[in-house]
Amino acid sequence: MDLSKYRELFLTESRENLLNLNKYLLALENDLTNVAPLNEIFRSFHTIKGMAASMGYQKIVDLTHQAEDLLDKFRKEELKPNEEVLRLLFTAVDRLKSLVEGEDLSIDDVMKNLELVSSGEFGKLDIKEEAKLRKIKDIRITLDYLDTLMNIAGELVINKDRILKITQDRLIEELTSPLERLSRLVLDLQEKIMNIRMVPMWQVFDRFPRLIRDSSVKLGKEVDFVIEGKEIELDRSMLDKLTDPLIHLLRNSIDHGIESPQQREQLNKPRKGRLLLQAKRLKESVEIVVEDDGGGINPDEVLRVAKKRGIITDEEVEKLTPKEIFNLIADTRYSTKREVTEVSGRGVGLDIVKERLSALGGSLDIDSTVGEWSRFTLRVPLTLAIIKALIAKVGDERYAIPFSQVSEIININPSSDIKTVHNKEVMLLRGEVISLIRLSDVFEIPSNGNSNSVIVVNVEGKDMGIIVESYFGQQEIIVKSLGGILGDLPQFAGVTILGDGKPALILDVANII
Amino acid sequence: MSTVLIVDDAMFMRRMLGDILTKHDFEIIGEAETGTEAVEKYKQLKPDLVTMDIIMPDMSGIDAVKEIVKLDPEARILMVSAMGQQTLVVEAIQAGAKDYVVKPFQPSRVIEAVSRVIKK
Repeated sequence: MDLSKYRELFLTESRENLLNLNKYLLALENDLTNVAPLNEIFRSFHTIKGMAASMGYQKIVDLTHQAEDLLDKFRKEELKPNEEVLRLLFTAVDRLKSLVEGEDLSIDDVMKNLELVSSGEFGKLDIKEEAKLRKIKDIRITLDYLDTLMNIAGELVINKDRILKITQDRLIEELTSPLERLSRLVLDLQEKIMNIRMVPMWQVFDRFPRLIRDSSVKLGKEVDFVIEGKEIELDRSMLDKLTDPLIHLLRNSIDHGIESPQQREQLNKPRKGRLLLQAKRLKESVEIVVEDDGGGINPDEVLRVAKKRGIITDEEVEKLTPKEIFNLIADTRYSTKREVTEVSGRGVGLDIVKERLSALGGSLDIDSTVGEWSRFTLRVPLTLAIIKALIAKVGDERYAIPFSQVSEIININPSSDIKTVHNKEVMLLRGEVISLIRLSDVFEIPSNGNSNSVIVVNVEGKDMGIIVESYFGQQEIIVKSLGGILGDLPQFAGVTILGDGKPALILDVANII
Repeated sequence: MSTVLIVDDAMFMRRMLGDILTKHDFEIIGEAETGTEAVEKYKQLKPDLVTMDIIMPDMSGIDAVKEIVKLDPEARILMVSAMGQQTLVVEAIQAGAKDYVVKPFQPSRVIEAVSRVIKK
């Protein structure tokens, strides 16, 4: 029998069961008297064992068999789990994960310990009720396949728009109504494919409790980790790309945010720190908040460092809002070679988190009250594949500006509205001065001289205006990545093809300003 | 062509078993992931044969066998068990299952057992 074609299925299903194992081991660790997780843990070991046996992975079979044996004794109340056993089981799950992923490592020590525990003497358990088990019903499709489907749907949209344009230009009336129907169908198809790509946050969030536990144990901190909104859905590839930044922020909170239990008691705070991970669905985006009730960020300290590193001048300090001050800590120049601890180490700083988010068309916002809390707010569009954008016209060129970055559009009278201060163009927006840039200057393209509209974008909590000649309304565009030498240009987030078949570059606003 | 209902909580197992059976001219008319679902599907589909896993969420394979036999005393059920579950297999046979195969299974063993049960 050709087993290779089952490998992928083995991997996805084993990973799912490994997530389950961590989840229910944590539940058990939180309350050792709760027997509900035991059945789930047993079943996950058992399922992995069955698959591994069919695939001929002997080590996995041995390990899961031994673990299953022990779990069965817990289930039958022959033995009772304690904290030490839990630690052993966590280790067993870690080894199992490596084995599943194809690493070859020794499991002798874990096997021996599991055997020892299985033959140990423990008291009897007080069994309460049967576990209510979760039921998953789904089929699996690889992401590549969905990407291909998405691409085809994208091409359909583009071709439909072209036919639409020709029909309108030549006034072919018979085509109007079938085309309308086609438009709706294509839109529907695209939406359905989009929906398949959406996965609930828990697929990633459920890994975090274990991580938080390990990190806080290592640092001697006590943390109450709360997850909210894990049923919120997000594009699979977006979620994948958010995992590292989230891990960084969470570890950051445990490492630098939440104080040690002793410190907290002295400060009259509850011994246990609170760490919140919360997802919220906004209109066209998802907001993820990482918030801790630790020491917060001291704005005076931030300003001192920012000035020392030459990020801001004394004059600029006056104008900064509190939020703008906090956001300085995500500047690349701010975090130079700070002390790297094992927990939040890896050299990944807030600047990299911010960079990653901006590459995803999202943003990072930082807020805090010193001594009380810090809050990191991530905002990302629902998907990477299709975005709503504004098409701006400059000279003969058209550029797409993601709607997630646009806060408003203002039609102006260039001669009276645009003012010059220190050789820089600015304008007044509801009493606030905002600086302006011209796309024609940024990309050095000839402009026809008109500057009728200002697109206001929000970058790092600060409004900026982009002067364009004109713009077309909001449009759904298919994002295609730029290859070759263009791919390295930070000003562009990709390219799209417009209704007339011509390409338009998609701007990454944060990197233009 | 004989019709089969495959019951197993792991898609991996359902796929593997399904592939083996399809290759030997059995028609897979349904799959179930839990005991409860197995009973429901049995009522709906009236398959010629059921392959039944034992450890599953919400209702075990053994309880599902009992339920199905209650509905249809002639039901032909083949237990698919893992190593070291002999006592459970015995329990299942007593409950009305006709035969069993042990995971990891050889395709030839599966086909033998299935054909045997179908003829019963």
